[in-house]
Amino acid sequence: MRLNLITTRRGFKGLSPQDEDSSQIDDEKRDKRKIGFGFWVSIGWMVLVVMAAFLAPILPIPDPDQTGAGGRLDAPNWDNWFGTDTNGRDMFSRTIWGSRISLTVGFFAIFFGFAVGGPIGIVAGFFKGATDKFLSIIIFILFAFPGLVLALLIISILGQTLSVVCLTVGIIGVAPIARLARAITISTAEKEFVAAARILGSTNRRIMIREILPNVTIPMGALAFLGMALAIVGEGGLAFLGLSVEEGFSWGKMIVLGSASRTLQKAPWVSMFPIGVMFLTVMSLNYAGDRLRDFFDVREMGIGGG
Amino acid sequence: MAASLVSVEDLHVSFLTEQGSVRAVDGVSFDLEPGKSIGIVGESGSGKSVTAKTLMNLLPSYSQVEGSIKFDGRDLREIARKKEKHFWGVEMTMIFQDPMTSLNPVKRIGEQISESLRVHMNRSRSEAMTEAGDLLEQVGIPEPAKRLRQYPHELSGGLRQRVVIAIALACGPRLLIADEPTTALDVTVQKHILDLLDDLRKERGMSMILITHDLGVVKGRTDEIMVMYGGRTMEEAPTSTLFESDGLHPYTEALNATIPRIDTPSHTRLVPIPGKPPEVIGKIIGCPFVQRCRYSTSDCLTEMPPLIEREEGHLCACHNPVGSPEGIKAREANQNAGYTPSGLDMKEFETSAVKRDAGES
Amino acid sequence: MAGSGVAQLRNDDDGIVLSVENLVMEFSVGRNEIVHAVSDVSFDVKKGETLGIVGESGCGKSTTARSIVQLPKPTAGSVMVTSESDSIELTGLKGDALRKVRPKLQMIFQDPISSLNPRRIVREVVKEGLTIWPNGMSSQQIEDRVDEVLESVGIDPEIAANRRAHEFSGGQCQRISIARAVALDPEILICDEPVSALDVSVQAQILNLLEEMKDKYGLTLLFISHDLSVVRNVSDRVVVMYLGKICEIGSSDTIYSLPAHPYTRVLLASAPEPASTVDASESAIGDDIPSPINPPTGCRFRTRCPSAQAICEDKEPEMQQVGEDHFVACHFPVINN
Repeated sequence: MRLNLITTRRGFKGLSPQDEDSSQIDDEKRDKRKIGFGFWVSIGWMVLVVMAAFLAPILPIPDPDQTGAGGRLDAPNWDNWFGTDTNGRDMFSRTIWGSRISLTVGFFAIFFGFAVGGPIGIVAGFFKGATDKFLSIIIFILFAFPGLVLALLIISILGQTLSVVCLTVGIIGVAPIARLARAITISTAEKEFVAAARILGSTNRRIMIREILPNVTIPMGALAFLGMALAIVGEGGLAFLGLSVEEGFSWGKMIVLGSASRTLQKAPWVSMFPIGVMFLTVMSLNYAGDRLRDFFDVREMGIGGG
Repeated sequence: MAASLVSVEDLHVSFLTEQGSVRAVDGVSFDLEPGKSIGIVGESGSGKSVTAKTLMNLLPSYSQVEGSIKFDGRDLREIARKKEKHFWGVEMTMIFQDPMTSLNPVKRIGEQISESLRVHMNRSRSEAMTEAGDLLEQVGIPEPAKRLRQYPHELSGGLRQRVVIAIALACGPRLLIADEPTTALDVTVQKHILDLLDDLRKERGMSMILITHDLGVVKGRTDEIMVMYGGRTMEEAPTSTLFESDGLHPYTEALNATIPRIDTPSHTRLVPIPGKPPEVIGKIIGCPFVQRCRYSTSDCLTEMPPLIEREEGHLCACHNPVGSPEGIKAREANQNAGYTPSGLDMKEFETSAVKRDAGES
Repeated sequence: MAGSGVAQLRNDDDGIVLSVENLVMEFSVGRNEIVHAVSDVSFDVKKGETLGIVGESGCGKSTTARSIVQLPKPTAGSVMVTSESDSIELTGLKGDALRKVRPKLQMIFQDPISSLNPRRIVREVVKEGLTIWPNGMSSQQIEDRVDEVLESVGIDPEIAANRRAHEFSGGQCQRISIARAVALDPEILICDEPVSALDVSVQAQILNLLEEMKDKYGLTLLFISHDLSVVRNVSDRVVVMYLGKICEIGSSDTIYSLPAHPYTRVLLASAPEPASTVDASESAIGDDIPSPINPPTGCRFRTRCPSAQAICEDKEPEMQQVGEDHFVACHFPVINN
């Protein structure tokens, strides 16, 4: 293995003379870089949160809407691990139930953003010319709207249901995702292996799927984690403005409810717990996304030359 | 012997990485007299650039240096420890392969040249600019006054490299290290730059270390040549002596056989160098070239050959040098056995490819 | 230089597989500026020949190669590929019609690592061509063919089956690229600086391998390089280019031993180990290669030519024959060495 720590020859003679007996590759040369313990801790947390959300109906926790599960504004105790809110509802249970909406928004928003933004970006970057100009204008227009204005617009027209909230956050995500996909596509399409695919006689469609897409999805996959974090926070923001789902409650809504000044003074746990859980979730997603991006970056750039 | 300007003795440089200790330089020794030039030849991974960077104190923090490096009798590592401000760039300078990344794209040429004059030689702004203009003339750039105000991207590759040389020579160094200075340039420009370096060197009585992968570049230009492989000095000799034969070291001989020459006819078969370069992680036992060498014997596997003076001024690190009685015997033995002690099939030296007749077209 | 010069084209009956005539490639950049990358270039290649194209940066050799494979289509001119007495004009073809012809003309590139998709398994990369054009082969036959080409370039098919490009060295990647190109059994293989990014000890291997592939698969090679020694070694015929024009074309032996064009002579004299057939002092005047946006009028080399005269500015030299298989575009070629 050669490490490119030293010389930075670009193109000219920068490659390692590891050749000759070319049938043998030592397994040692395969990448030994680790993704790190922190990554797995983050993933562990995410798995925990997602599973709790999923299994909420069958977990042995009190009904989140049931008043009188404890006293009013009880501090955390053995019966109510996260305490109770102004209506005597169990905060632990509410936090878990609330995660269902927050996580749903996070997941579907990103899903929508990628499903729409990804192809837009790839098609724009691949075909360039008029197609690119047209699609770029759409992306540009989307960018021109501050997220908030867009959210207000959509939600006031379509109402405050879960699907609308997911859609809204998703739409806000389309532009940055499309822009990144386009950038990666343009730089990938310049590489010689794409020219080689054309020279083999590959069709445009086949090139986009077989050559471009794998190079786009991996860096963007890492971005998906970060995007999800942003979407969750985004939903929280909407909740603060009263624009989140009308029925049910999410972390954001819980935080809002708990931040009325008297509640905050007397019973800070009512908002602190949802904040804490949201914080840990967002941080885990961010960290995992970061680590994934670093891991794949180094790998694919290779460690050569010197 | 005249006091050496540069004296490197048993230099070892390694980098501490996640995967272990990487040996970049594993036993390099050479001397350079004032006013003389030495060419360091090796492929990528041979450690030639790292050697240069060690001399220039340009190594990253995770490097470990052992051995002695001296400039004019002074210990370079001591100078580095003391963080002397007016040594590097003044007594000793370096130029690199790519002029575009050596120059700051957002600063004018004149500014970049004057910078070292103002920092190291205490010149005023206008004095420095005038001197910069003189330097541009010395490196053969036409219309120097105009060029001073230009930005690097406005110049061609050859002119840029001349500017880089001008910057390097601004403070009148006694040693210039040139790391692949012409590799990124066109052939016609290469010649001009190499000629320029020669002229400047002779005018200023400067010493030069010219690093390259191309044996042809140093032939006839440098006084001495050092061939490196796997981080080690394999052979060192005055240029004229080295090219009398194909070299004493099997690697040098192999290099000479593998390079296509402009004078040899079409379809002359090139002899490839079989095998793989040595692993750099961890300790290496024996000679790094043993896996690819047809002169190897079993002690090459276990004992690192020391760098010994075989003939006057001609050093070689090999147990069985080419043309020596040991070498001839070793090669014959391998030929008869069909394999070298490291398991290399002797046939790889004969026909790695189908025979190419000069008659075929 | 070759203004309108096709004197160097040979007779059709001689087994020509590739014929390039009056090729022009121009790009527009910025405001109304045009880069004249390739300006009226003509040459042909016979079956089994290796044609070397040599020149410095900006001479248009790589652009010529890309134009031949229609990536992008040339601005003007014709590219004819002949196989089994069937001549196909490439420049007129589009879409599917062009795609169908592509297998005949394959290419390998300078940078071995970026020639292979880093996210795909190497074996799949080599198989790609056959997947697109199975031509009646069963899937087992395709797998066998992939094994065969991998072995002939010296890569173990089993190892290729689950590794990606970054796990191989530069030389090995270049071998894989060759395997990919050869899998489709092309007529012509264009090699664009195939060894320039490789170490010296590996260069010889790849050059030998190309020679082997040429014999084994009956290929015709177009070999592009800036390295005079390498071109000398592999080529039967050589084209010397400068700023988008052909200076000189002829058999390899002739060009290197009796160079007639001043630029060829300058090139040979400037090599680190100059050719013995020219005087080492014959070098070009000045470092500045003129911009291809505004190339010099008349002969493009005149601004750096030691023998330039007034006529060189006014009139572009045409290709003329100066010897057996030896053509030069110059008003004052050096004939008697």
